Amino acid sequence: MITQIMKHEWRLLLRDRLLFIAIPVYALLLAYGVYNGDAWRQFLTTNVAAATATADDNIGKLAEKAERIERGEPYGAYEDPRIPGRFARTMAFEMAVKPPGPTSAIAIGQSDVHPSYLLVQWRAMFNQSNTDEVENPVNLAVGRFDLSFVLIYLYPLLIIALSFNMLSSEREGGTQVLMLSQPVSVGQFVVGKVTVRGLVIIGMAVTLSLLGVMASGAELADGGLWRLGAWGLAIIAYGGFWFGLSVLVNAFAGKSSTNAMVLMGTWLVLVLLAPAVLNLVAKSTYPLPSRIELVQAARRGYDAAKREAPPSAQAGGAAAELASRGGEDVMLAELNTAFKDVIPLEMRGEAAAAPMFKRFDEQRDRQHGLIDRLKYVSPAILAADVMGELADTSTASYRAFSHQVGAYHARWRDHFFDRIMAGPVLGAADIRATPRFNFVPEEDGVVAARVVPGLAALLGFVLAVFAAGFGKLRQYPAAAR
Amino acid sequence: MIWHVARKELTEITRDGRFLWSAFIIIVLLLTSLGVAASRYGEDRALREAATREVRSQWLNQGVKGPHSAAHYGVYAFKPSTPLALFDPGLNDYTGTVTMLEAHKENQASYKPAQDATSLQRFGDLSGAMILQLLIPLLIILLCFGMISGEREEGTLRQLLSVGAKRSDLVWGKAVGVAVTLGLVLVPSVLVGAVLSGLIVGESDPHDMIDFPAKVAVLAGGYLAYLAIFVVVSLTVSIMAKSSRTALTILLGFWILNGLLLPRAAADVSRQLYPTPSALELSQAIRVGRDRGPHPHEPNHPNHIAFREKLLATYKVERIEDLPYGFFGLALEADETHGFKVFDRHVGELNRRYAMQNRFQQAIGVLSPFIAVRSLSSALAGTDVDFANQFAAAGEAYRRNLVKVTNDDLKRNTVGWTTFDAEWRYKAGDDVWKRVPAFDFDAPPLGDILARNWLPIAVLAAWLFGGVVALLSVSRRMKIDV
Repeated sequence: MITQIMKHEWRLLLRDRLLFIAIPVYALLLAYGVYNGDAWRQFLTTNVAAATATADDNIGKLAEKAERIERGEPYGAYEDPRIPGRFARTMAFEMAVKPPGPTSAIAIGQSDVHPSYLLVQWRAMFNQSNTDEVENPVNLAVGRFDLSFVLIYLYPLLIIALSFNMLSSEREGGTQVLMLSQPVSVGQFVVGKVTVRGLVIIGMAVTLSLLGVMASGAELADGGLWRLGAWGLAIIAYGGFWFGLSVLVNAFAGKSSTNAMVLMGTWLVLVLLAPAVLNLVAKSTYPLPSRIELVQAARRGYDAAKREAPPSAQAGGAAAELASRGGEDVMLAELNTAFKDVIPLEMRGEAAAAPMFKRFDEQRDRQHGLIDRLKYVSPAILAADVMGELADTSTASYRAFSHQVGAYHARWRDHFFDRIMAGPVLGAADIRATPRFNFVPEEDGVVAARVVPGLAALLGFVLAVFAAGFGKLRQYPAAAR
Repeated sequence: MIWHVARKELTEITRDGRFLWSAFIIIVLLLTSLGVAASRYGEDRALREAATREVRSQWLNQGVKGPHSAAHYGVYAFKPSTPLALFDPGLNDYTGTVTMLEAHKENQASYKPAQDATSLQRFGDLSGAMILQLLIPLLIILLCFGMISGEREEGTLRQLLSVGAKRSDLVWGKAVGVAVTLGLVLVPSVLVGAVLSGLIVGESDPHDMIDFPAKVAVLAGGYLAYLAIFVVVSLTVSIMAKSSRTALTILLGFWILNGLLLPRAAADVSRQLYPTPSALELSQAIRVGRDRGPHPHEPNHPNHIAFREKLLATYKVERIEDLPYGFFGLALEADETHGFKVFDRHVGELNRRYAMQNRFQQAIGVLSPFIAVRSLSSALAGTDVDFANQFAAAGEAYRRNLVKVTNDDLKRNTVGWTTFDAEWRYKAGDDVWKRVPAFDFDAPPLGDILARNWLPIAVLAAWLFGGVVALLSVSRRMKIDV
C-alpha cells in the first residue's frame, strides 16, 4: 500500500511547479557551497605551504649569512644571526601552520577568523605580530556561502516549503476523505509522503554534497571516510528532524497557512534566535576580561620587571661600537651579555602578567563549556557544531592547534635558553638544526568524541519529533474540514 | 474612511493572541539585548578610558632614554565606539580593537572579538539592529500577507466595497492600521530601551558623541523607511497574489532572499570580483618594499652606505659628524618616509579593494533593502568598515607624528655624534615625550557618513517610492472576487 502511495506522491511531486524551480536552485546552491568550500580549502593549502616556505627560506638565508661571516665577510652588528639571543628573538621565526583537514570543504566554520599559521619566535605568543588573514570585515560578519550555510539555513526551508501542507492541502481540497476511505491509515499515508519527499530532498543533499566533497579531493584515507559517513548521517538526521516537525505540525490538523507560520516560526527560533540568545547568555554569564586589560597587563609586567632590575643597555651599545670597529670576538661576548639581561627580564615581565592571561583562558573555557552544554537546545546549533568538527574548522580544533603552537613555543625557548645564557655563538649547522613545528592532526578518537554526542542528540531529536508526530496522528480527525 | 479601516485593523490585530505573543517576545528580546549591550558598553568604555590614560602616563613617564627606543616602546590605541554601537554592533566583532603604534611598522589592529567567541557568534548577534532588520519585517509579513487576499477569499472584500469604501482607502487604511499597531509596540519599547541604556551607559566621551542626535534621527528615519517598505510590499503582494498561501510563499521567499541569501551571495561575489591579497602576500610585499629603504640600523648594508654617501655628497662633507643634522636621525627619518610610501601603497590598495567590495554589495542593495539598511545603520552607529579604517588612519597619522617628533629630536640634538653614540648614548626626557600629544579619535560627523552612504539611502528611498507607486497602482486594479 505504501508503495502505491509513494508512486502517487511521486506523480504529484512531478506536477508541482514549485519543485521545478526549487530543485534546480537547490542543486545549484549545494554545488556552489561545495565549490566555495573547496576553493577555500585550496587557498588554505597554498597559503600554509607558502608560510612554511617563508620560514624555510629565512632560516636557510640566516645559515648562509652565518657561513659568510664565518668565512670573514664584513657585517654589521644587527646582521649577525650567530648571536643566539638575536637569532631566537628577532631574526629567526617559524610559521606554525594548521593545514586544512581531509574534509574541510564541508564547512569553512571558524577557519576564516582564525589565522591558518602563527608566527613563532622567542617573543610571547600574545605579543607576536598578528597573522590574521586579510579579509573585509563586512564579509567576515556576513559569513561564507559554504555547504554548511546551505544545509543549516536553506535546506530546512526547502523541507518546510515541500511538506508544510502535506496533510492540510488534501484536507482543504477535500480529497482527504476520499483518500482515507481506502484501506489506509493516516500514518501510512504520511509515511508515503515523507519518504518520497525525503528521498528527493535529503537524498540530493547527501549525494550532491558527498560527491562534491569527494570530487574536490577529500583524502579518504586520513580519517576522511568516517568523517564523510558521519557527515552524511548528520545531513540525514537534520533533514529528518525538519520532516518530523512537519509531520507533527500537520498532525494537529490546522490550516495550511497556520502550519506554514508555525514551521517558519520554529525555524526562526531554532536557526536564528536560539543561537543568538545563547551567545548573549554565554557572553554575559562568563564575560571575558577585555583584551585591552591583557595588553596592559603585559606592558605593566614588563615595565615592573624593568624597574626592579634595569638591563645594562650599555652592553648592547658597546657591542655595536666594537663591531663597527671590527672587534668581532668582543662584540659577540657583549651582545650576548645584553641578551642575558633582556631575556630574563622579559620572562619576569611575562610571569607578572601571567595570572591575568590565565584568568582570560579560564573564563573563555567556561564560556565555551557553557555553550557546549547549552547547544543541545537547537538541532541547528548541533548540526553546525557537528559539521564544524568534521571539517576540522571548529573552535575546539583551533584551540587544539593553539595548544600545539604553545608547546612548540616553549620548545623554542628551551632550545635556545641555555645557549643565550651560556653565550656560545651559533654555527651555520646549529641554525639549520633549529627545531621546527610539525602539526599533528587531532586523533580520530578525539574528534569523534566531540562529534558523537551532538550526532546522537540530533538523532534523538528526530526520534522525538517523529514519535510525537505519529502519536498525534492517531487522534487525527479523519472527517472533512 | 482610512481611519475607520485602520481602527478596525488595529482592533483585529491586537485581539490576536499570536500577535500579542510575538510582540511581547520581540519587546523582551529588544530590551534584553539593549540592556546587556549597554552594561557591556559601559564597562568597555570605562576600561578603554582607563587604559588610554594609563598608556598616556606610561608614555610620558618612560623616563630618560633614547628617542628611538621610546618610539619602539610606542603607544597603544584602543578603538572607541559610539553609544549607538550598543544598538547595532555591526562589524565590531570582526574588526581589531587594539593597535600598537610604534617605529617602523604600520600594525593592523589586533584581537577581533570573534576570535575569542564561541562558534555561535557566526549565527549572528542578538541586537536591536538584528531585531529591526530581520524579525520585525517577518512580523509585518505575517500581519499583512492575508489582509487583502484573505478578505477576498472570505468574500468580505465585495461587502466592504459595497458599503462605499474606495479601494485605495481600504488599502491605505490597512497600511495605516499595521503602522499604528507596530508603532504602539515599537515606539514605547525603543524609547524605554533608549532611556534604560542611556541610564546604564551614563555620560559619554564627547569625541564619540559628534552629531549624536542627528545620527539618531537619520537612523530612525532609515528604519522607518525600511519597515514601511515591508508594509507596502506585503500589501501589494497580498492584492496581487491569487491566494493567501501564494502571498505568504512569495513574501517569505522575499524575506529569505532579502536578509539571508543575497547578503551572503553579494559578499561572496564581491570577494571574487575584487580579490584581496592573502595576509602573507601583503606582509611579504611590505617587507620587500621596506627592504629597499636605507636600513638605518645596519651600517654595512649597501642601502645604508648608498644613503650615507648621497647625504655626504649633498652637504659636501667628508664625515657624518660634519653634517648639519644628526645622521642617525636623518637615516631614521628617511627610512620612515620610505616606509610611509610602502604602507600607503599596499594598505591603501587593500582599503580601496574593500571599498569596491562594499560598493558592490551596496549596489546589490537594489535587490535587498536589508543590505541598504545594514550599511546605513552600521555607518551611523560607527560600527562599519569606514569607521575602522578611519580609526586605523588616525592611528597611523599619530604614529607618523610620533616618529617625526623622536627623529627630529635626534636630528637636532645629535649633530656631530657618531651613529653609535646617537643610538646608544643620546638620551631624551619628558620634554620630548610631551611634544607628542595624547591620541584621540573623533567619530565621523553625520555629513561624512551621509556622503559615503548616498547609495544605500537612495536604494531605501527608491524601494519605498517604488513600493508606494506599485501599491497605488495595484489597489486601483484590485480583483474583488477569487
